[in-house]
Amino acid sequence: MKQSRFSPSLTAMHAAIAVAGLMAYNSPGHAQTPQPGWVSVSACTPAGPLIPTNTTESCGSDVLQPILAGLVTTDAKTGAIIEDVAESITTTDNKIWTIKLRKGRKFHDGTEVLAKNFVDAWNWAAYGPNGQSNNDWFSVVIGYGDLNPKAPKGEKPPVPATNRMSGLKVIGDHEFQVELKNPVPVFKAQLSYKAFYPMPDSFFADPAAFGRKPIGAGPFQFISGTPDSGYKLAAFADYTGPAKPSIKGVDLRIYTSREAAYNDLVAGNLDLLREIPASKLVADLWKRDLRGRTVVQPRANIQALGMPYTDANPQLLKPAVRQALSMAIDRKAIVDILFNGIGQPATGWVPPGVEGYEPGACGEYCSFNPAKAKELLAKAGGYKGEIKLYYAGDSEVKSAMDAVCNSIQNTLSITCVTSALSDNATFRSFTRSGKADGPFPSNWTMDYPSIDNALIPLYSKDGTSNRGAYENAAFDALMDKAAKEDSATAIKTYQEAERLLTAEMPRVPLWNPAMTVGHSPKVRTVTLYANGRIDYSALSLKD
Amino acid sequence: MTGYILRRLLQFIPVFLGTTFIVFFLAWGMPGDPLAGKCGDRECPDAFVAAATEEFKLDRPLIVRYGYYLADLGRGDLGRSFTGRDVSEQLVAAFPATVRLALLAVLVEVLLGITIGVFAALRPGKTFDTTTMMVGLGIIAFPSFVIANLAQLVFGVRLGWFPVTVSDPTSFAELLLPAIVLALAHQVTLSRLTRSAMIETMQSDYIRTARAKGLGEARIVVVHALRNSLIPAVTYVGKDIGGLLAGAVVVEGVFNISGVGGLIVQSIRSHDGITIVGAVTVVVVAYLFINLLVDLSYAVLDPRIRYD
Repeated sequence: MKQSRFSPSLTAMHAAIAVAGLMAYNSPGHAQTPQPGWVSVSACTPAGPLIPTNTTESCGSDVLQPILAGLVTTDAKTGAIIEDVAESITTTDNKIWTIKLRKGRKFHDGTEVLAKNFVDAWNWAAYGPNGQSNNDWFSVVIGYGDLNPKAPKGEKPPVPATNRMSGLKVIGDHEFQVELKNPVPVFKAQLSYKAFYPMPDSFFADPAAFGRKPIGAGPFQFISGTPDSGYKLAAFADYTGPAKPSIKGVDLRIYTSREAAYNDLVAGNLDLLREIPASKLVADLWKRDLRGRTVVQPRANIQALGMPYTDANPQLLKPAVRQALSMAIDRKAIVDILFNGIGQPATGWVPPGVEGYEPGACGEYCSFNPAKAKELLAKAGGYKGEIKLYYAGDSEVKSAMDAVCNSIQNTLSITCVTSALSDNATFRSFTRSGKADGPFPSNWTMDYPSIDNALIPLYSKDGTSNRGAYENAAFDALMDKAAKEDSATAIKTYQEAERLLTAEMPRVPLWNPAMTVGHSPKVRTVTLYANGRIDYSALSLKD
Repeated sequence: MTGYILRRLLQFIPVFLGTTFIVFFLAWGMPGDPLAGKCGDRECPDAFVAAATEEFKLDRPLIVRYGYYLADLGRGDLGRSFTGRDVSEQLVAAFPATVRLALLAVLVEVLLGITIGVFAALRPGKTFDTTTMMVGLGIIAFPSFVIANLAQLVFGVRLGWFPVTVSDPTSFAELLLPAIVLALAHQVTLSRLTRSAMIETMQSDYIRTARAKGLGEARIVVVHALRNSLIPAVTYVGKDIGGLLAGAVVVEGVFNISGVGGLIVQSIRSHDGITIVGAVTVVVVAYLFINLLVDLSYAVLDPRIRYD
């Protein structure tokens, strides 16, 4: 026995046991073989529980979008706001909004969508101690302050005395009223954002369970899935809304890299992939790989250069210097060469596909004009020293920022260097600290497709995302004026305010990226929403 | 032997505490507000910041938070990540795939490496020895992402012999190609180690004695020589398993395996300190155990080695 304690036959046996152990886990029947009528789509792991009022990142939003339905939705083809669960949304003064619901719309658990499902959901999301990342969407509703008492300096915020906003009133099973603090002409468009979606009664009993298995009133029903294994969403049989799908279900597969998903798409194992990897866009490689099964569509997103609004760099405070910088950037060359022509140079601060979008709002200041740029810079007294362009080292913007810097340097003969901060968190802390002495990339994805969402959060005095701390009294006056107007007039006022931004260039518009989609031969048509998400209801398959 | 194992296990405690301490401070000491960028392009509302600060005790000194963390750990609670998912849940989702991939890769590595090593050692300097060495150098010269992408393109996309990506990490067939890719580079070192140890052993007196006694060549090589040549190989394989358990970030990424490597990288990027500490701690403990097993296996392989 001593001899054979470690004999080859034993080693082989160990190996065999190890293999058998691995094989034992081999569960057959994993849905590699496609079910008829289902489409497989690449997705990414949601960062947190699938609760719409606490989901701000795109992976979770991608999963939630087909499951949920709100009062209004956007028509993917025209971009218009259309009623979904709401039958009518009316107001006379932009302050008091009366909302009537359609009868018979059901949640996936079979309960009907009633007025209380909206009011309860909004109160829950606005209640400070619940700490929802979409909490501030409700700051326009009367009574929001009671749910979010201000913390005394250096202390924790006190517990609110109530958990209901006084501005929300249930009038009947299918009717409720919202009273806003200030008039909001585009409130109806805001309602298309997922923070305003209804929640079924079961949510309030156990939010954590909902976060694992969300229940909505949308065209697709959550069947099964986890953040790591992907999700299966089947068409909801009792759906009576405006977006009845023709497909039977959506199989969201989790991919850790888009390259891997792309290879699966090319090999025929995947039906839909959004955002084709940059390396495959080079020389239209993807169009050859996919034999033309490609879609490019503009999306409601703008990439810009944020500007510091502090004394950290007084030279950059001069409007003429900013205008000169803007006119020194050859946007078209960068889009054509770096992005292979996908996307378009920005001509204003509002992305295309958004209600109120006006091409050329930025005018000559966003067009490449070296002579005028030099002239403006000379008039402003030149620029001494170098420009430092900060970006987050873990983002994908490096090559684009290098190109912007080169463009500025070649045109204006100012030394421009890019400086990578270690990661996004460091970058965000730095750019809002007021210590940044140079421009930095600043992206904005529209929450809902209306012009005010591209202006108010970023450029108004109290804007929630006004990172450069920009302030302009004339601009703010126009925001107040628009608030009192009906939505059609208000949009004109917002456009006027947008044109006002050329004078000081609080951010320099760069480009509007486009969404790229590749699909399998079995998909006939793909329609995208303005936010770049796929409209699964409009998706049609070849038989 | 038992006493030795107990002593080694006791040594785990200071190593464990030291690791969690260092990782905890490194993870939370990263520059930048961990809550920045948690709300997409928007800035986070005050209520969100207040609730997160309260839950993760971000306003307390690091050392106090480390105390809380250890207390939770004592109750078997690895904590909850910034994103609201339990760290234990994330680890349970990530580790099985990585463990299977690591074991499969090591199996391929051992089969290839030891076989090649033994055959190369039997006729050192001859065609087989030099060819495998040249091919091995070629493999090592390529970074793993090149080999991984190439293998995926050729055998997955073009030829269709293997699945392109891993959609189900419990499937042996799907993990085979990534495992072979991982094993390829490692088996080169293993085969060279085995080869040199074997050459040395084959020249020793007891092999000559065995030959003189008339034992068959196969028995001499496999039973007598190989067993005594395995100590460097086992040490290397142990180190490999430990390394692979920490996640093969590149190969996992190419073949879409949601494993430990991806989890740790993702957590570092999103400043998710709690997940980083949890994942790294489990990796460290696994490494310690594998090292212990390697040390114990010495005694099995070579009776002259004893642990008292």
